[in-house]
Amino acid sequence: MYLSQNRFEQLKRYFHISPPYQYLPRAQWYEKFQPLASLLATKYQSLLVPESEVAVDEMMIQFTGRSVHTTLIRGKPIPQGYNVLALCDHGYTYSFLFTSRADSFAELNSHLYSGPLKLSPTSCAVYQLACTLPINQFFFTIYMDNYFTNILLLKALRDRGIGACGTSRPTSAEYPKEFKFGKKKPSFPLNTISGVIQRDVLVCLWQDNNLVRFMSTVHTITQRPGNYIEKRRRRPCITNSNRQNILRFFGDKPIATLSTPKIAIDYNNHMNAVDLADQYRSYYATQLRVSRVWMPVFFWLLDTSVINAWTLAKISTASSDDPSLPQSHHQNHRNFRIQLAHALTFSGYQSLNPSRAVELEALVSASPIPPANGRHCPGTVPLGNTHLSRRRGIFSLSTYFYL
Amino acid sequence: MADNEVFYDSEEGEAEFARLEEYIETARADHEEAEVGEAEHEEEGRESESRPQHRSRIAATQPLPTLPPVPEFEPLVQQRHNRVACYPPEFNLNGSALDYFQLFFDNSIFQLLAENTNNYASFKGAGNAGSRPWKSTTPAELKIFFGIIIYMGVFPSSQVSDNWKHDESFPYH
Repeated sequence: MYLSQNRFEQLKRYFHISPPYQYLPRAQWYEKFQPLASLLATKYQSLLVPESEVAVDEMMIQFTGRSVHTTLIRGKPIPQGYNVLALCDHGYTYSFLFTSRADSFAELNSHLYSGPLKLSPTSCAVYQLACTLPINQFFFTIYMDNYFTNILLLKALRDRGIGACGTSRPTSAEYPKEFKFGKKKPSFPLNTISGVIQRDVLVCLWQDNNLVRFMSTVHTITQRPGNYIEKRRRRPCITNSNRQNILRFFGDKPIATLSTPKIAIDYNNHMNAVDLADQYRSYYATQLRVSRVWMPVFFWLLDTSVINAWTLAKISTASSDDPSLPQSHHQNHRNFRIQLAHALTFSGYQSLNPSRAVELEALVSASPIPPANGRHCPGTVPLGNTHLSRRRGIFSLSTYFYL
Repeated sequence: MADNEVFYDSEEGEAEFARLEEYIETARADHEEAEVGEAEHEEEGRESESRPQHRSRIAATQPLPTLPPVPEFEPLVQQRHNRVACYPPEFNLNGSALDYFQLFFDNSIFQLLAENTNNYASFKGAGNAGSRPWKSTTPAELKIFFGIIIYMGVFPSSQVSDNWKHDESFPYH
């Protein structure tokens, strides 16, 4: 290590993003990380034009300390923490908006939408995120889950020239009465589909294994080629209530081909963009134990930046045809992070103590990258609470003389 | 001629609808039959489980709500595109991991962070009598700090201090 542990702890203790305000009262809860966050957000947006299909979803930044701004939802993968609304493209976080339980949305610009519809604050937030996209040059479709989708939002987006699609709840604003069934959910014959148009938005109902409610402004469900795709489906679990329906379609075969609406396939394909970013972050998260409430947000920003940088690197190596490139580190997330850590420490050390930096660079380049310690491939790590597992390193002292 | 066609279409639609109705009827009948058979079987055994059976039979006998037919819908016209990265003009595409990272965290940001950290440290009275001596930090030192944070994410340890151990039982970093 280049830094002593004491110095590391000291830096962690005094690390600060925003200028300290001794006397001023805190105007906004997020202002301690806001300067960096907005700087980074503009960079995220300037460096990539996302694909046509993007997704909006919530992200959680784990934090279990005391704060009025965290939310607690039991049963979620990350039950407690800061809530961030994010617009992602296959793991690349394009724009984000911090949410607080006490203060609703940070930096919500509710005057951005000037139409006649009465949008809820959540819908306004999604609208604001959508407006950060380069919508004047390109066409985008936003996929969202049933927390966000409602007819007013989809109509507002449509008026702005942005497509949208999502599952919805029957309790959402202006949901058509034809599809409200009260508490008892009816079970239609399998693959029944029906639709209603309300405010230029297609609201459709599809009986899959369960009743699925979609809304879309970019799909149609009429019987035309392209709107339905033959798809091999596994027979769902047979229960008392669905037995007749399912046996009629599947017979005794475990797999059958059903014509599945395109809207459902698209939704399943594109909704995972935000989860992908979550997943990448969770592999090598940099969260440390800290005693200041905004630090988890900073670590989140750091992780997001690393992943975005990695995504950009992947894009450029995929597009270039030069075979002589050192492509390995741009394909592998783990290697990318290790190389980044080395390069950062090296470049820092270069200006502090150049002769030692050269010495260490030779050391690093001579030693191979240590093998993954089992987070990706179970089995290489000793299981159970043994001294081996606590040690967690498979590599020995002499082989990997590192950093 | 056109009228005829429309008439024909709707007739076909009606026929289809009737078929669907019939289908639903038979499905329901089958369902009930199965239910009854099972209920009888249950009664021979335990009586306690007959209640959920009863409830599901009620659900099955409720008429299915009629659904509106599939409407014609005018979707937004779309011209798809793939994602495009727009690098700054002098950027080297074959650059290292650090080059890509510095697209976001460039030197000016490190400079800003170093300044703020120093300000905050002096505000908090770091290095005063009684506490550990404090030296102003530099952007270069913060880079090392970030590097260590990222490195610790890849090689997690239960305690931060483990990373500085020179003990045999810990991997040497």
